[in-house]
Amino acid sequence: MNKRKWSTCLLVAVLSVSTLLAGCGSDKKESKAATENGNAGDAASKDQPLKFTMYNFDDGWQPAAWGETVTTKWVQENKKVTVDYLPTNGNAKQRFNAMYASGELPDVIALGPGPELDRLISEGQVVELDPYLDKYPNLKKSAGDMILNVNRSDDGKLYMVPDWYVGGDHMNGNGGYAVNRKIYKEMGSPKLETTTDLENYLRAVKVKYPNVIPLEVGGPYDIKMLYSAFKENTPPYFVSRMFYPDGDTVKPITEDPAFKEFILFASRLYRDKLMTQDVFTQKADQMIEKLSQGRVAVSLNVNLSGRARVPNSTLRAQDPEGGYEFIWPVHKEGLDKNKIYPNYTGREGGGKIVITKNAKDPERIFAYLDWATSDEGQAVLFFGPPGFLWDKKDENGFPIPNDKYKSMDKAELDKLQIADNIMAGNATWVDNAKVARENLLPEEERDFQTTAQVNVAWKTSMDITPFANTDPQGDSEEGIIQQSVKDIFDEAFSKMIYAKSDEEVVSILNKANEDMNKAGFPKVLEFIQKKWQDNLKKINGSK
Amino acid sequence: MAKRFIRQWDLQIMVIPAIIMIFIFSYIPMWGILTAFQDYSPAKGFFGSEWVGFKHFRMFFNSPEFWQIMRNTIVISLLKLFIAFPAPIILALMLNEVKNAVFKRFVQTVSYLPHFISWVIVSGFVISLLSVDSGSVNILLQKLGIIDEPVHWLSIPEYFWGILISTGIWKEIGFGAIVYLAAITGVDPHMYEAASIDGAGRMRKLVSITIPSIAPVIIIFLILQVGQILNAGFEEILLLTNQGQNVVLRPVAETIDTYVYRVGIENYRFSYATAAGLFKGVISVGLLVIANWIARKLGNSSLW
Repeated sequence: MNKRKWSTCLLVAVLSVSTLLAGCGSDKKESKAATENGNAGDAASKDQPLKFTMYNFDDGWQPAAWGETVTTKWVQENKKVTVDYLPTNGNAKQRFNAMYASGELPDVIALGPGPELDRLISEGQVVELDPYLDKYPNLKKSAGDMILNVNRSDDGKLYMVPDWYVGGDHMNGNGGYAVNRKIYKEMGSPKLETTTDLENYLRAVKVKYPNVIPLEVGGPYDIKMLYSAFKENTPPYFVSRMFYPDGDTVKPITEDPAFKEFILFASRLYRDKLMTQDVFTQKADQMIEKLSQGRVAVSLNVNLSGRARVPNSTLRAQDPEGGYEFIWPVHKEGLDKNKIYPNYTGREGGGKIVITKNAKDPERIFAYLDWATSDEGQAVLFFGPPGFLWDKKDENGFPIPNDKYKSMDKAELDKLQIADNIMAGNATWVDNAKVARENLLPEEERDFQTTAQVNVAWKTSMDITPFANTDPQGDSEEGIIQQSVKDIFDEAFSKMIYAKSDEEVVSILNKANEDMNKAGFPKVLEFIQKKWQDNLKKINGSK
Repeated sequence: MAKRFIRQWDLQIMVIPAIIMIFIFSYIPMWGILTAFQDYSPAKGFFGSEWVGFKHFRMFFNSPEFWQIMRNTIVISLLKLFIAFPAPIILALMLNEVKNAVFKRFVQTVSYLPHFISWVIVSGFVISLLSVDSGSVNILLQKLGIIDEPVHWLSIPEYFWGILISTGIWKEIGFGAIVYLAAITGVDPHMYEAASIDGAGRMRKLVSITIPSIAPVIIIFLILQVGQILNAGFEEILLLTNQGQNVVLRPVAETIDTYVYRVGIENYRFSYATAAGLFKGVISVGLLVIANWIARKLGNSSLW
């Protein structure tokens, strides 16, 4: 046989094997890893290192790999725990679906606010946590009965560790309005309290600064935040969910007179080019870029305290008079400004961490999560290990930053990614600890984000815990209806923003209301109504 | 037949990797289409899920979006068939007439490079080119005095198909032209010489020699294209509508694929999505068979 034929054979063999590997290989690898974990767990020795896989239902969350930061190294050495993060590949829902449909759920999943949890519970995929609650008491202590009860499933059992729950009287939030300080000063620092003030200011800015965007909103959701200005006690959450509470009942948002006022206002701002024209097509990066260039007069965004943080320091470095500053949310004339809520807080927590039945040693995983959510765990996971940037705690148990922290460059600090891998977050503890730390600093050195939160965002956040878990499952009857109602509403919403006249807005609104009704929206409202009332009972029962 | 096969064994085994690949990635997953007839739930698995017959198909056909989705899928595909399909052929014919080899190579390289840029990046380009706030297209048109103020290109449904098709052509025209250029190279030069002697000009040669000579290649690609008719494009539509966030485009941009993705994958309606996908598959196979039959009747080449 000649050489050429041999090389053909070789090529064919290589290609065939690689195809086979690509098609069937990954399965084997993962199951092998799983058995290795299993053996470690079966030994049940607490000194054996614990390693578990974790999937976070959030594309925006990209933590440093475990063991690569000071914090996680410390956890590995002292707690013998390693978390193996599975990437979302840029589409959390899709990857989750793929893992779920193929029966390869990771050991731990941090879910978002969607209906996934109910689905996992109803199909018996997650571990019940009640048996561990008393044995490992930190979660109970930190979160409290009310939060745990709201998070209980319909069968009365607890299946998840809440993430970023908000106990006590504290409220959480990152959003709001901020003004460009330089432009605001040059405009003569006019009063910016009502929606009319805001509109007049934006118009004046447009005339004086043709290249500046009068009102920069990051995306469609941020427009909805304006809704909060037109009625007391109405966070933008209601627009997202397409209902509003009226007394004891929920009604379609399209029938809310305040919603009509809001959408007319928003549409007018857009039509008169006072608001970001690319709001439906731009990405976060584009907004941050505009903020960094100082080409924004007023900004409104759900995470403005985070997004404007770096732009603010960039601009202040160029000009101490520059940068951004949060203002109190605007309101319609005649409303109480202290009842205007562009932010909202679900005490139950934004995330839900579940341990799946695929985990070999759920108890040890729970024990770790329980440590993580304790004050001690939060201190390490948020401020870094003891002896690094803090040595002692104050009388409230909050770490006191040491000289190393104080002298450290902020950019340097960001690179360390100290708080990257925090989980089972206790928002109240972390927020208060942050404030305690900031209060030790002179005013001009305080963090933009924390200042904005303490002064405005947290004070303008409404408690919406009673609406926790009122989202129907995607494939239930209510879920299917909700999907088509949402399609109608979303389309109408963007059309109303793009509308050329007020009459057009009103006619789209009326049509949407009709179509939503026809699609069966009352049925969804009934579902929400029932869950809402159930929650109220749970909450009042734990008081 | 068998003898010939044995004699060519070394050539024949080259097909093996392809067969393995098709088997693993196309045939093995195929039983999954049965879930279209179930209320499939991953926890219960394939054998535990309840059989529901044509329930999901009925729901799909009766859903209010059905006609809109079908219209968009068909219109976008037809636009692709009539505009995006001939474009590389025209480019190849034009390049063939270019006598300067350096210039020809240069155009070829420049036009096929975009093929290697992923849709994520291309859509990013397009969105920022067309944006209202300092988008290049608006700046250019304003400087030229064609428009007075920036146009919000991506908010006007009427423009979307045009943007989609032209972006697709820009991206794929050069790569598509390669195969036609290769076919043109294979045309016997004697025919051109004979035509010259008969006094034929450039246009004449193009129409009477080049096009008929590459017609079989064109027809094969046309048949394949018809089979793809319901593949109106998934990635590009999803990305150009900002992951579906730019809802105002949905009435013109929602196709079977994006609908399957949005409703099925995002809402866990696995069976429903499979049913819609299967419906698309069945129609595509039908169209492919019809196109092939027509091509054979016309006496030209066909796939089988």
